[in-house]
Amino acid sequence: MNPPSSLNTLDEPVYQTILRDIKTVGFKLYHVILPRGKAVAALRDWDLWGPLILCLVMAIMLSTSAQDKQKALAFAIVFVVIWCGSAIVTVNAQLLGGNLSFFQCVCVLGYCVFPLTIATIVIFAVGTIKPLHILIKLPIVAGCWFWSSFASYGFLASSVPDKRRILAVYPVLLFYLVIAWLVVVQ
Amino acid sequence: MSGGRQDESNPFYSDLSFTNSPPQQNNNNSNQAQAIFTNTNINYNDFTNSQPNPGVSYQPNLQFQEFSHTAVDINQNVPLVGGSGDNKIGGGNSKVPESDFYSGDNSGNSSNNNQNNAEGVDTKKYSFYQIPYYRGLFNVDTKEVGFRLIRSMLPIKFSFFNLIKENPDLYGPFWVLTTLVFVIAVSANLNEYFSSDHSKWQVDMQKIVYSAIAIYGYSFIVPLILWGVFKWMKLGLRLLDMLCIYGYTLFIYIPASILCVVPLQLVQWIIVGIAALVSGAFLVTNIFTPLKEDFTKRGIIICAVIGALHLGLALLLKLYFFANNTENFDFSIGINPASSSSVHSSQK
Repeated sequence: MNPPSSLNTLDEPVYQTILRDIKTVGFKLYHVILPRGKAVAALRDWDLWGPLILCLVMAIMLSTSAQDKQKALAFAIVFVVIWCGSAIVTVNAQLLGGNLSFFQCVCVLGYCVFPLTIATIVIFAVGTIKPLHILIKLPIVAGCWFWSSFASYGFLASSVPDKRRILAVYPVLLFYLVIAWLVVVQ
Repeated sequence: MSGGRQDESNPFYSDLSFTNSPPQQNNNNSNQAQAIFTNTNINYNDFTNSQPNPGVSYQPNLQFQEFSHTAVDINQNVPLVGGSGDNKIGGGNSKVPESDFYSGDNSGNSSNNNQNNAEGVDTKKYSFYQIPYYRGLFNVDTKEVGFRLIRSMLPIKFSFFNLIKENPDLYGPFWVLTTLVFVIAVSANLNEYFSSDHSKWQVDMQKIVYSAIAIYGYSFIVPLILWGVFKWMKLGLRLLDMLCIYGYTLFIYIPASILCVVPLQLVQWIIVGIAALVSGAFLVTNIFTPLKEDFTKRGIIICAVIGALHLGLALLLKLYFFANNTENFDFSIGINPASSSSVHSSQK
């Protein structure tokens, strides 16, 4: 296999293309896990692959653990809440006078679901062995909820004028709260 | 937008300042977002609250502008200064100018925002498919929303329509309703959890869908019908006003639904009853007051229907979403469980 030229991505093997994308996604996830101000810069060039993967993982896990009759519904609710929710939160911030790009904000909100996805995976994995009591799940998910909100707070809050900051941040909290609740009750 | 002729017949905004307001000078610069709510035949120029300079201060200026042709310089300044009071309907005039966003978190700037926005206003025309076109509907600050939320829980003699007249927002209603949908779903599930065998309990996702349908449906369809009725009665009431008041009305149900987690029938009935009374009184008094003089008969009928629908919503909440542990209770007392929901309601 020829070594790919650094300029031309058309000639490179497919796995390298995919690998590069995966690396970008992983890099962004890393910045969400450790929100240290650089996160905004890292998420500056948006992609929707990461949010899609996170959303699908969460939706599949939550739907498998739902009632028999409601598996499809659980999947649909998770999917709709994540995508429509982040879109509505973004539009809300824009309507309040924030200047942010639509897809970038959706991307940030989608990536910031990551802590909650981790919580889902952990609870799901442990739950297959022994179902967790709700009092154990609650602090885990509450922590992840705080984490998600904290990671996305800086991005949204800085783009909206001071007098309306709470108005823009509240929907974000609610958005993650809904997802967190879906995770808790799985 | 048909001038101010019908303003005298519009009882929904009964201000004292109404009479000494300037004539319809600015009606032609009607804002665009307002244009989609066609029943806007109120006088936007007069308003009393939450703005420092009421109509009195700029009235002479506007007249001056009309009669004098010499003082051109003053005329160009006057609309800008007076304009700080004029942009309450939103539309293209977002309260916070674009230049503020780029200047960063300058809290000193926000204090004189009211002055800035006059010249910072984007005169650009947005099409209806662009998001900034709808900024007028979200033209509120944190304090304003908080004030309206508190106001909506106090059904004392006070005109909510006057409060929201110059700036009806959809932020409050939308997020109140969304929060309420979520809170009801959670509360309903918790009620089920407490009343069921804890180990076998599984979440009922269907509750989210039903609460969304109930809440969004109620607070969109009823205002729509009412708006149609009022339009037919030739009352100048905007659809936006109805949506706004209905959204804010339901705010009290959020704390009520949270409190309804308490798995005691009596407590739940009391809580839901109080919430229904407060919000129903708020709704009915606000809508009935302007109808009192001219449309007594029809006003009573309309308000009775509104009150009945509101009560229906409260009953739906209690009997469907917060209907807990009635089955166990039925068996213990010995009532036939086949006689269904009427028994549940009469329980305690």
